Amino acid sequence: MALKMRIHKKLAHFNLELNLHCPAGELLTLIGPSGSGKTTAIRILAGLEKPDSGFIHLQDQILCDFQSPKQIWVPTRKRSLGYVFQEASLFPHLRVRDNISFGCKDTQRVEMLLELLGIRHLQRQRPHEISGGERQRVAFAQALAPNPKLLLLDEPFSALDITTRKQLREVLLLLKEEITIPMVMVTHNLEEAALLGDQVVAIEQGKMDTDWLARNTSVDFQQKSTLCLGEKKAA
Amino acid sequence: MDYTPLILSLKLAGVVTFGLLIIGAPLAYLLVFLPMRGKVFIESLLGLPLVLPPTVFGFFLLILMGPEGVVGRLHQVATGRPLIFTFGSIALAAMLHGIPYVVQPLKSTYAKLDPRLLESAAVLGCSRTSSFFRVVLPNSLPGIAGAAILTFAHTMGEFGVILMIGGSIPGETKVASIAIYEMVEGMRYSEAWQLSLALLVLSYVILLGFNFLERRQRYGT
Repeated sequence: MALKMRIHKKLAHFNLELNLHCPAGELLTLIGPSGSGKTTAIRILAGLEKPDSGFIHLQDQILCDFQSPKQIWVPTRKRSLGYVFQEASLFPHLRVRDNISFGCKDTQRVEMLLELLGIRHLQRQRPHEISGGERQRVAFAQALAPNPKLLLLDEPFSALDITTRKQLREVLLLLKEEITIPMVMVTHNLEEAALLGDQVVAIEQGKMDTDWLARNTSVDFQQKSTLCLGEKKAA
Repeated sequence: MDYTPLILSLKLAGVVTFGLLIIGAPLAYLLVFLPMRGKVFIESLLGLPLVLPPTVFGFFLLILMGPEGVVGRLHQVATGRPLIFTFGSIALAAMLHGIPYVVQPLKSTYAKLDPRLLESAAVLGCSRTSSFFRVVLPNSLPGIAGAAILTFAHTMGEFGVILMIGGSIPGETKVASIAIYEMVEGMRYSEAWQLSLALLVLSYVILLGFNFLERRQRYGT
């Protein structure tokens, strides 16, 4: 189940032009400075914003095709997505367990995710009663509960302190072993992109920029990425 | 002392508040979240009761609900009875007059909701209707309670519109405000005092509840 996306959208100060391909089970990280169009790209994937032209294919399913005369547009709720926002947007009126099962009726899957993410002890708490890191773990469980076909992560660790951030990276690495769908993560953190991404795509001013990484890191990025993953696996 | 008018006012306020919440909660949701053209025209129309004198508003309703009006004739055909000068007519009129008192505060409440909650609900497969019931309403309860109290209090003091539509039929349309007006006209000041005082205390308690709710919503205490 691979993701293919080629889109164009006119933004206030530049045009967003992306051509992405992410195979199943791989994590594609979109990296770039603030305001480069990363979040818009992931929101277009989620159907929360429309591109001006282009297409998004998820295996055999067409999520969006503005090239065809039919102008296909699948609304967000029918895309079968998991989406983790920058700051966990859990439903404040629901307990942790109800948040996770919000989009999923399968109690066994909810149980499995509670266990996998180490949040079983929090299941009766409400979002405001738990820490930021715990909320983000719950957000991962909530996103994965409906068994999505595509997982989108919008700077999921940026609002967390360094220790929690490291813990959650471990969690994501663990989840990657289990997940067999394409994953797209937006980040402006080089270390994070290197550690977690199977594929790293840099965006600047809405365009894919192959030199951006070289300009912004002293170490060859792909080598660094391999090194970090190697260290992680060895650990 | 006859407290029937006060009881009738309470009954009217209860019916109007309940009816307006049923209509106003989804209406405010559509006005805040549904992208549609011409929204400003609808919002201005719904706000008219705030600026029109109640007698003018009541006059238009009288034309509409009277024996020659569209609504009045439809009611006559359906039930065989005229609509005006009944409890139903004053309830309907008070509801139409009270729309902005429920829609405006609910719009403010909904607009304060984190938009990511609705996006999150959509990602998890919720339709707009489902999001309204599963996310918007449960997270707007203090705002809904505030709107309910405001509408209840406003309806308790409704006068002009009710006088135009319902007249003053004891036990049917003669609410507290109209009864007090008649008592003063008839120089029955002692009775007017008692009923006015009862209305004053009741209104104060209602507003006190509203302000407590508002403080709780603002400061989370």
